[in-house]
Amino acid sequence: MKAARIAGAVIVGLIMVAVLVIMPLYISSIMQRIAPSIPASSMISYFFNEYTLALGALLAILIALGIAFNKGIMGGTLKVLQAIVGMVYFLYLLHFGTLSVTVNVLGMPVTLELAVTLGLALIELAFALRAVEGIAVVFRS
Amino acid sequence: MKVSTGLAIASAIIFIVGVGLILVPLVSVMGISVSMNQGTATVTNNGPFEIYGVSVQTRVLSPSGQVIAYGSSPPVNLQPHSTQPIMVVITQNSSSHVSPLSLSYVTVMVNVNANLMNVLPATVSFSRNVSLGSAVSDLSVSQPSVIKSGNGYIELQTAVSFVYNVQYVPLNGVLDVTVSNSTGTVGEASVPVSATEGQTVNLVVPMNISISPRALLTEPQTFTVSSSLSSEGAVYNVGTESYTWKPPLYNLTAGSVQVVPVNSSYSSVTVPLSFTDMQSEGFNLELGAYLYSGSKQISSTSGSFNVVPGKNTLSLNFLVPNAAQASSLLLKISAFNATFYKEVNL
Repeated sequence: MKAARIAGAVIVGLIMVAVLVIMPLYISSIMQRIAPSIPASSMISYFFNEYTLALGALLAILIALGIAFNKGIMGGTLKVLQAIVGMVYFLYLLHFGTLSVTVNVLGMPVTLELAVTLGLALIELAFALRAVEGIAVVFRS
Repeated sequence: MKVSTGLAIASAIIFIVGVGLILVPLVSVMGISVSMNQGTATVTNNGPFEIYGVSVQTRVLSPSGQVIAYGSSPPVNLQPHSTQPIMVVITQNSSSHVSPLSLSYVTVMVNVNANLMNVLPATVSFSRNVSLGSAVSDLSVSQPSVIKSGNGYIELQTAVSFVYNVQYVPLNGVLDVTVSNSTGTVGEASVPVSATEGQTVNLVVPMNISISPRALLTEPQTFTVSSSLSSEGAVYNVGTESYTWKPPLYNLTAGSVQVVPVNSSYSSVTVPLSFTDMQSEGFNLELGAYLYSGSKQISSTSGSFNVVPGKNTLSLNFLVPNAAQASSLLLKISAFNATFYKEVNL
């Protein structure tokens, strides 16, 4: 049972890494199609900065650990940590709700800006509930 | 069901909805493309869904970041695979004190707000710097011409026309025109100017000239006419043109005097006068003529003449005692409401 849980944790961890890598790539490709004049490399570097990469990897690890250790104080603490890292990760990934890329097109700076504050607020709320859930698990243990 | 399980389910649902609220607008907005040309935005919906309430807001910023003009459009719905031009009425920000004449470029910020499926707000913004180039072009300054004069002054008018080129920012300022000759400034005037982009501005500028009416009406002058626009403390030199002033009474000379005896006491003396009206229009000339023999006035006459552009000749007839010998002629010339005297040796 324990081996199966650990295997599941590893699989989920890998899936999370894939999702957390694919998501910025997907958003980059969409933004690039909205503004074809903006180079794809600018888009990718905009979403794949050092914060999102590190936080995404940390979030994937915490989610995998949360599956491996889902009970007791450890499980609750991992949920709280997941929530905190997840909240910060999405804040950085979505640039605090305003996606804004500025590039030079034919010598002129062109800025593409997209507001996603409503969706970001709901994601932050979901992680806040995750933190409450973790705290509840810790107190019940 | 445990509280923690309920919280887990709730957070998962909220997370999925949140991700959906990001991805759905992203995918839908992917179908929107916008191009902006002056006051008209062309919005294209290439996506599969109708986009509701598309409105365009535009702000024009100075290099220092001040909003110098802004505008917005009423919301419209965009059918799938359709293109719609949206007129954005751009008005000047009255609280801004940035002169359009001092701007080398402006930053145009365009926000396109839309509603996807009538509930999801989305905003696409872009900005670009627009180089303004020359503020005015196609300048033309007409030859100054006389409109009226009085004793001691002459009022000329010159017509200035130009095309105002500054995009987005209307011009509210003053056109200053200065006329100078080799001795310095001899006249200046200011007229208010208002213009919008692409407008051809035609202004008639009257100005007093501090040259004596006698000199201005009879002698050619070399004038330099300089024009400049000023607005909010910024000055833009429109241009400088040089003109040779063409007097309306140029080269006033008397021809050969003809004397014809009338009787034993008097003779008829005819003095032909000629001059050239170098202006493009005629005028009314009042002449008083006093014939002198030495320092003694021996006869006088007067008349009114319609002067035409070009060469003019007229004759002055006097009745003179036979004993008197006419030596000089004093002319009292009245034209353009100015009066001056000119002596002509016979």
